[in-house]
Amino acid sequence: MKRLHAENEAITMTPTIIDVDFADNPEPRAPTILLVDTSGSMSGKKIEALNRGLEQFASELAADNLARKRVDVAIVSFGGTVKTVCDFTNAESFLAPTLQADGGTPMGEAVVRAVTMLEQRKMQYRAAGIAYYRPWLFLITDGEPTDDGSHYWQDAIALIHEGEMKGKLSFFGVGVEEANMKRLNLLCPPKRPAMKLRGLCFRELFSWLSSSLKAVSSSTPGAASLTLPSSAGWSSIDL
Amino acid sequence: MSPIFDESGTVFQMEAELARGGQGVVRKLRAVNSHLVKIWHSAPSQADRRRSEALRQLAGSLSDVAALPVSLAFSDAAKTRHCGVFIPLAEGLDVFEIYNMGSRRVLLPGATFELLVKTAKQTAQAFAKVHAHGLVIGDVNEKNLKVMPGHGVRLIDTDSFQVHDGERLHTSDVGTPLWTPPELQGIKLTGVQRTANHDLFGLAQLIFLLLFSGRHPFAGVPVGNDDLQPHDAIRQHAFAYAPAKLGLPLSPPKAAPSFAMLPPPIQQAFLEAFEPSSRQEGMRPSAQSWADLLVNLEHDLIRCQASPAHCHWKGAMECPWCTIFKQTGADLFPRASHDLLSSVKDPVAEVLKSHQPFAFQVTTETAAVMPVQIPIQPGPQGLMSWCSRLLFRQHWQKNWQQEEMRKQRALIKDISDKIRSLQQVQRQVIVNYQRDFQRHKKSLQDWLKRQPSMAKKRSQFLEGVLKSNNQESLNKHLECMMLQDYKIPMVGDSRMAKLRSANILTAADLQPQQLQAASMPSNVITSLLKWRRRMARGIKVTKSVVLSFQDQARVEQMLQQAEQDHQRKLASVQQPLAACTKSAQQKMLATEASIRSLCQQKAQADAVLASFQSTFSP
Ligand SMILES: Nc1ncnc2c1ncn2[C@@H]1O[C@H](COP(=O)(O)OP(=O)(O)O)[C@@H](O)[C@H]1O
Repeated sequence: MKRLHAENEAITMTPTIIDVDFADNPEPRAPTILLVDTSGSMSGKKIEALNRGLEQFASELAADNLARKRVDVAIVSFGGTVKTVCDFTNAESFLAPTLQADGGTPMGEAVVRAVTMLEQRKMQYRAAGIAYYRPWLFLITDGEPTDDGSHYWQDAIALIHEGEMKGKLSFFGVGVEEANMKRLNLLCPPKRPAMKLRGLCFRELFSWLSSSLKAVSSSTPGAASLTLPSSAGWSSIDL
Repeated sequence: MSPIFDESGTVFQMEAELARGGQGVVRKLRAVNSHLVKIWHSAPSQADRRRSEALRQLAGSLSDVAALPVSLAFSDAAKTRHCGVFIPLAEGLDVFEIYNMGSRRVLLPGATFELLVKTAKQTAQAFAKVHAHGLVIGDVNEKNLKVMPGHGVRLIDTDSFQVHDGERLHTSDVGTPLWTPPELQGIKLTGVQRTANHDLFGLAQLIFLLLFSGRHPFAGVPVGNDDLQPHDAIRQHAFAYAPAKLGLPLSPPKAAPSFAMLPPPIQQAFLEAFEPSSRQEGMRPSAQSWADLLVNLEHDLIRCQASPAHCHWKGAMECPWCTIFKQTGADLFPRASHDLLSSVKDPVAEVLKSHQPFAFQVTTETAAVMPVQIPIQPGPQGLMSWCSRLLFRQHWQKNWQQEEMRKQRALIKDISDKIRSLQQVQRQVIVNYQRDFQRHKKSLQDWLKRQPSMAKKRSQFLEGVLKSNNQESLNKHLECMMLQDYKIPMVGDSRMAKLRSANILTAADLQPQQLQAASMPSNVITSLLKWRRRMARGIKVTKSVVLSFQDQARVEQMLQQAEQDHQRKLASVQQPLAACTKSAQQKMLATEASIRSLCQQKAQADAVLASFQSTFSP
């Protein structure tokens, strides 16, 4: 038992393991957390399409020699309970998990968990002297939070809004089919409202995400400011 | 695919897309290995054409350092539709695959610091040559430099070089924040005139990344907890390895090579390239001065005693790679496993060669004769002698003499027969010995054949170590698989709770003993183990082909032990060979002694016979 995942407690690794991993690959990192709704309503076609999208994401990142050294991926699912499906892993060794759908939608708690994981990951980067880009939080849901009566929901909103304001993270909310976009927009920063997935275009969504992460982490013609690729391929509202 | 035409009107067929960049698509050409064609995403303007034409003028003189366009490309035979350029193919690895240790150890196992110094030197020389021709690179980055390890480097993506066509300047309008010098950070690059001094920021950063195995000069341990994105650190001139007294927000990472591993003039050059005053034109060290510094460093490299793969500047206080290894367990320059293998000779042949049968020889008659004693005066002695002299002198003496000579001859014959029979014995000893020796040698050979060769043993050990390393990384993956996150056959909530209370939380914890200790029913244990195997199968562990410093030591130790065992066994297998030689030797020595003494007797008898013949000859 080397790793213990208690409530909100992220992985603690010995400094040496981290040092060796980062010595192997000291490239600047673009940490990314995928927050995925795996509640009961996602079951069937939706979760299947999502899983295929995740595979697409993993293979597209792996195909770029440089981006795969820079993107660190973590996955938190919320369906019934909040689970750290995959703690931060370099895209070079990231494997898409097969998610299963079940239970309620503790979205607020998931966001809180993700922000905590991010802070811990950043601490590891700082201790190891690894540069990092602004982390991305990417949330996908087809419903609405079932924990919005708890403190988690309010905490989540506060964490996202404050993080965005201080430039600590970039939050992207994506609604699938019947998602309650209004609720989702409470979470999203005002300058970047929630986007709606067209149909079940998860593959297109993840393709866009991997290209965007490549753009964040490597060469961008024109420099100065980052321009993300168009999200027209999957979103009914373009970014 | 539609054909494509060069300036002379020659037609080419385009092949598969090699890569897609921000500006265009790079494609191979059918039956042409030396060149590629880059088709721009948007139709080139008149200015683009002028730029390409100006660059093409220099393609020949810079061909060894930059893949400049050699011809415009047209989509029609009439050459009215300009759509891109033909460029020489630059082979090799992207420079980041060389300085990043994870890539390096897969692509170039066993590469040492020397390769990094060489590559840095060649990079500086390439920049110097490009600058000497009045060009500015502009978009210096880790993807735009191809390295052929041991041969040279070439700049690619050259269609964005800044060039003056005699009338106007064509600026390089591209860049990337991680590679943009502080003075240009945050500025929109379109139309901005770039200078060699800007390139020299990128050059210093490339050299730094090479010498520091992928450590970024502007990545370090931050003073506070604030986020500092890499381009912001560049903007602040926050060179992490600058002297602490400058009070910059970053300090060097613990596991990174120390700045002091480099000769002071190189340290100084980095400071000059990154400090605030470097913003002014002409202030950064020139490409040529970098090249000179790196030539010197290349001459001043030595190998550390701990590992032949540890190569470093001779003036360093200690081997920087050993230091990092001791502090963190990371070996930046591990030896390649095949390197360890090739240093071993196959000892089987050596052992066999060392066993040659002894070349015994039959002792020859003439071989051993000591000085013959002068024979006694031949003739009857004592009373017989007196009588004979007195009475029968002539007649008797003749008879006696003949009798003596006959006796001597008989004696000689007898001795000769004895000698011959002993020689026959010796011959038999030799025949037997040779037969026994070959028999024992054959069984030694068979035994040796059954033994894994040292090389094989070594590779078996190495495989074992690599396998256990891979097992470790497999375990790391398994440790991340929380049981509660999966639906496992036969494991419901209550069993899950039971597992949890027995501290069995991840796939890695699923071990027969632990599961028994947690009093799981045996069919559930089988199901859990089966599930674990299935999960493990799904994990792709990238196979490591190099050994860490630590593993090398482990392998060496195991091999020493194995070598000792082998030597012990070898000695006992070789024993019959030595024994049969020894017993044959004893037999040969004994017969030889007898033959020699017989020869002595025979020589004596010969001498006696000869003296009869001379004294009493008729
Ligand atoms: N001369 C060349 N030799 C080999 N590969 C090349 C060459 N030019 C370009 N490439 C490959 O094509 C990719 C994109 O080319 P590049 O010129 O950088 O495009 P862009 O300027 O549009 O980004 C490069 O990363 C490299 O892998």
